[in-house]
Amino acid sequence: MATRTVDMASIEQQKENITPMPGGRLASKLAANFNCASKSVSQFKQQQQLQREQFESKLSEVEELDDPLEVYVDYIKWTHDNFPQGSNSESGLLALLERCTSCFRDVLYYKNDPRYLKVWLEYSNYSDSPREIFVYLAKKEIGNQLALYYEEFAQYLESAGKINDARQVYEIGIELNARPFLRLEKSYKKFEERMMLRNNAPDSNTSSSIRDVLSVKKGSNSDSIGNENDGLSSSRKRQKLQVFNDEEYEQKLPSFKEALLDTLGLKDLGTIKARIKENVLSPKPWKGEIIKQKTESSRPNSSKFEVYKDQPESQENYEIIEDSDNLAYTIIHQPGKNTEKVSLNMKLVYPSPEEEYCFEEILAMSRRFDKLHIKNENIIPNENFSYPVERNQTYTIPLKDDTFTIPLKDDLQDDENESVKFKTKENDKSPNSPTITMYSKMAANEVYSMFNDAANNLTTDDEFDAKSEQENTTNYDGFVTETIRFPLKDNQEEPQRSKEVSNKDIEFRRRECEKLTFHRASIKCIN
Amino acid sequence: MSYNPKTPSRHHRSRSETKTPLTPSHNYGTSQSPTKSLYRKKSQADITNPFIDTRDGRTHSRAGSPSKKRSTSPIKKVTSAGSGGIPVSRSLRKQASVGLIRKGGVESRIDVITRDYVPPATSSQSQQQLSQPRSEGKRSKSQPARDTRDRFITTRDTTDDVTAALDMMTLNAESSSPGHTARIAAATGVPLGRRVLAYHEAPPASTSDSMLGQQRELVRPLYTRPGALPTSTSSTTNKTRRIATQPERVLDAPGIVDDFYLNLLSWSCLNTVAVALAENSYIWKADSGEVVHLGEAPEGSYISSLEFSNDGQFLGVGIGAGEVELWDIETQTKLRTMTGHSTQVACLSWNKHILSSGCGDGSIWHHDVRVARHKIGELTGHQGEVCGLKWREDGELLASGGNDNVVNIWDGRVGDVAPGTKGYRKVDETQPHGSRKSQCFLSVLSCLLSNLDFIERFISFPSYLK
Amino acid sequence: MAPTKQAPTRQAITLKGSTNLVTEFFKYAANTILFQRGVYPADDFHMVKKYGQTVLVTQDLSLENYLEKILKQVNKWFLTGSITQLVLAIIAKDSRVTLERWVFDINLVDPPSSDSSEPAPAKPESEIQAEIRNILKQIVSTVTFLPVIDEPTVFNILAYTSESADIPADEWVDTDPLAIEASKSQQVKLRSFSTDVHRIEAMVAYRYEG
Repeated sequence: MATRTVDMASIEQQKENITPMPGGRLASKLAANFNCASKSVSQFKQQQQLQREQFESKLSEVEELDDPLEVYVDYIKWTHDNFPQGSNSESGLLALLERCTSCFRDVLYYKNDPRYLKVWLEYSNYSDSPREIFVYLAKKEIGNQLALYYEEFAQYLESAGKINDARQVYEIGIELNARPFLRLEKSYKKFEERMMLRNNAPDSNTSSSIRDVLSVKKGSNSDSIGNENDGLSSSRKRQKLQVFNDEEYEQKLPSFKEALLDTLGLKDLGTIKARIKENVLSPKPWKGEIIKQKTESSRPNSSKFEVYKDQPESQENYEIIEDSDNLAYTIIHQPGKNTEKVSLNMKLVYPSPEEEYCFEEILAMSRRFDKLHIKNENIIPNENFSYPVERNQTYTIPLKDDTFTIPLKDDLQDDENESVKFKTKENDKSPNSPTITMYSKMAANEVYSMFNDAANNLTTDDEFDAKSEQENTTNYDGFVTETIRFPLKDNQEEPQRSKEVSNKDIEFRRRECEKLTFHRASIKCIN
Repeated sequence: MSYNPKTPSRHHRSRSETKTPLTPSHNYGTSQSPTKSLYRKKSQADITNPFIDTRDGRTHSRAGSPSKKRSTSPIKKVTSAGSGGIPVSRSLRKQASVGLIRKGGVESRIDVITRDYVPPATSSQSQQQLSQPRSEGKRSKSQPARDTRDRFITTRDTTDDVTAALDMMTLNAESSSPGHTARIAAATGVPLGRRVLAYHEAPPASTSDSMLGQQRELVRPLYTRPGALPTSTSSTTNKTRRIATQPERVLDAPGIVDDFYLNLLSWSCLNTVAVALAENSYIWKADSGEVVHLGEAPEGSYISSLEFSNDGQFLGVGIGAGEVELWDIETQTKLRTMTGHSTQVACLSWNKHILSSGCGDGSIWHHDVRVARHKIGELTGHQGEVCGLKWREDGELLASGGNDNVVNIWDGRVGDVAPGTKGYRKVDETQPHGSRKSQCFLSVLSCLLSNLDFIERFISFPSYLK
Repeated sequence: MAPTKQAPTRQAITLKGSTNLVTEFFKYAANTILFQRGVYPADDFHMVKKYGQTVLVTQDLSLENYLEKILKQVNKWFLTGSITQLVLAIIAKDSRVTLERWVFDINLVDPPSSDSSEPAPAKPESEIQAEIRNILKQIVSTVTFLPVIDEPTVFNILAYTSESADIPADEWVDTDPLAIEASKSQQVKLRSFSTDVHRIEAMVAYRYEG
């Protein structure tokens, strides 16, 4: 087969978005449309916009073309293909139809062009009074030589129940020899057949109502119709009002036929919008519109459940403040929540949304800070222990004056020298105060053991303590950096440590040892 | 020679009396004529060549009646009630059963598919003859049936000729030029060695009253009119609630996507309306008239659904890329993004803290918005996109409608189970209707429309809510 | 190609079962198409439950008998593997123009490579039913793009068979394929379904006036 086969699946997915058209749709175009649309919405829309502009530019030159209707017809067809939903604001189908119909309505050349008539017929689908449109067309003599017009009109009338009118329409068409004549005749014959079958149901009611309508409608035209209105005024059965009694003068009423053919009294058809404007509320902007509920809506009285929130990314604003004691704390601003105060410098912990450092890392970095050249983000370890090294950041580790970090010597080759491998961070932590280096692990261990012994002596039966101390002892070997703190006053708190850290931290343990009594007491309580 | 007048044909249609070499006619003719000729002929009627206007003795052939039914009169006599069942002799059948290609002769020069066919006695008297012109391009009938019988009229003088001719005409790969045969096969779409058969009887005409059907046919186009007559569609059958036909208010909604599958509007119990226009979502507080721009869909995607939680505090937003965002209305911030779906999330429904989302691939997921691992259940039961989703108010049942025209009702039990748990489907109502969109739990509780109709790009508020 | 009578009993049973299934499918598919396209008045049809959903079948006895006769023969052709395609063509009554062709390709499922060992697990009927359901639904949804048929129509069922097929001479006649003019024809491929033995693919070709 010459044509390519389209897979239904691609159409089926969007099947509810397709307005069926009487002539059917090209399946291939539909599929192409949907495939393009699904791939990239914005691109697709851009493409459409481009094509639309092409049409518009063509339309602007419509005056110079030999067959301007062709441009319109192509444009309408393009709209059908690209907007299977039919008429909506995106497609602008209705507006386009309106443009086309009003553009050529007085052009003699197109009066009997079937394409033009089809545009009108499609337009009438969107009108709430197609009958008016048909009448307008008749008066304008648009399509009066085309069988299509009569067929459509009669079909409409038939479905509205106006049989006689429909019959008359056919008769007019046949009288005028509309083309294609044979088809019109056939349609008429079929119509008659249908009517015969329908003869059981008396349709006299409908016909009389039609007459009423017609008579009222044609009040203004009755003069021009001619001599058929002779006997109008004679029957006066009623005394009260001189009302013309229809039923006796059925035959004499100006027929629908004549009404159609009469071209006087032609009103101009406005746009659909203008016609229905009183029937339809116009859209308004949202702001300021109020709709109150009459009844208090049922509100569930359960409390608002707590939603798991995604980790905040850059939503939070950290504000680092240093207080009088050179202690830094962070104020966190989060929209919608109360501001929080965290007693540590969050910027060190989260220098950027993707990064997070634990306290040990921060310590390590701060110790090696002097060894790092920050300028080009290259790490160049130097043997210089001097401080300070230039730094970009203004954040500092708020260490107490009496604490300092002790950088390790370079000649210690074990993996404790991780600091060399540190990546450069944006914020370099430089210690405020000089640090002391422990030159030997053994010495350090000895010092620790002194403390531990002291601790051990104090505790007797506390297993928890013993265990932890045991652990501490063994862990000493594994430490990279150590910070020796001078004994603190009891009432001083550790601003950096707002959280508990692992018990592997020597410093922390040391502090614990120093404040042994206090801690033991608290541990006992915990236990 | 196709009967197609356009084709230059050496054999004029009205050649009934032409004595031309026997050639299978191209016409596949009208059912009746071949049939009739079949009938007529004594036994060798050249079935293939309906036009075989047989001997001169035949009165049937109407000389000079170009495309008129050839010999219709005789046929009529013989045809039995027009319902076919032409008794032909076996040999004829046999011959007829073989597709014929004209070989040699004039036809071979013309690239016409000449496949003769024995008239399928499918047409009853009332029906016209079926005649499909067969030509390379498979043209449709370009003229009314009656006239298409143009065929090659050939006559056969003797039976010997006939048989010989028939042999010649056999569609035989060896005997005819392979190219020709192949061309024909390709053009007809019927490979060699295949036969196209039709039942000899015509299908019965409808016995029921066709008038009704015709009336319906007539009226049908009107019903499908978009701007139909104001034959009202107001559903006043509901005693408890009248639904107005006219909107209470019409608010402008530029940029709203007219897509049947998306649900871009939601009205919370706190009298707040959320609407999605293109990539942006807006909140309108109906009490105060205030409008707030809530947020935007991520770059490159669009909002495909909106749904307020039952208490009106949270708004679930489905994204075209498959994510479900959760926004807090009070603070107007996005709380979280729940990813995982493969394509657009076109419908959402809340059940307390559980948000169910229907995806374009037909799956429905349950999300517990309170925990990090949000997916707590999955329901796979739709083969088309899920168009509508609605929990019953008590959380017992979940109704879902899909693009595959299926409505599923699911058991509402979702526990804290591992992902991958299948929901239990209770009812599957499959109807030959369109996609299931408006989900309403009619049975027990109030009817909640899950979507409002759009009139172009305007959103109107039915005053039933007042 | 198709398992012949010498094939093991199981295969023969499968073939028969599959044939019946497929023939039944054709019956319902044909009914659905006739209803959807308005070939017969809607009043002629009533709903029955089949394939887990409601389908429409005709109440008109003559039509039903007609279809039965055709399908009986089709069934026989199935068993011998001689039928390759079944077409339901919708033709305008007056002008005899083919408006639509609903084409069902019939292929045989390749037999499993190891035919000596255990046969492949039979395809569950529910799965087959689901596939059939989908096809029927697709047929219904073609209304979105098929042209509306205004005029009275008739249908014809054509069977494409192999040369060697056994054709009851007085019942089936050769005909032409009732093709649609190539330049005006649009083709849309629908879903397919398969049983253990047969694979049916559906396609609709319709006439579209530019």
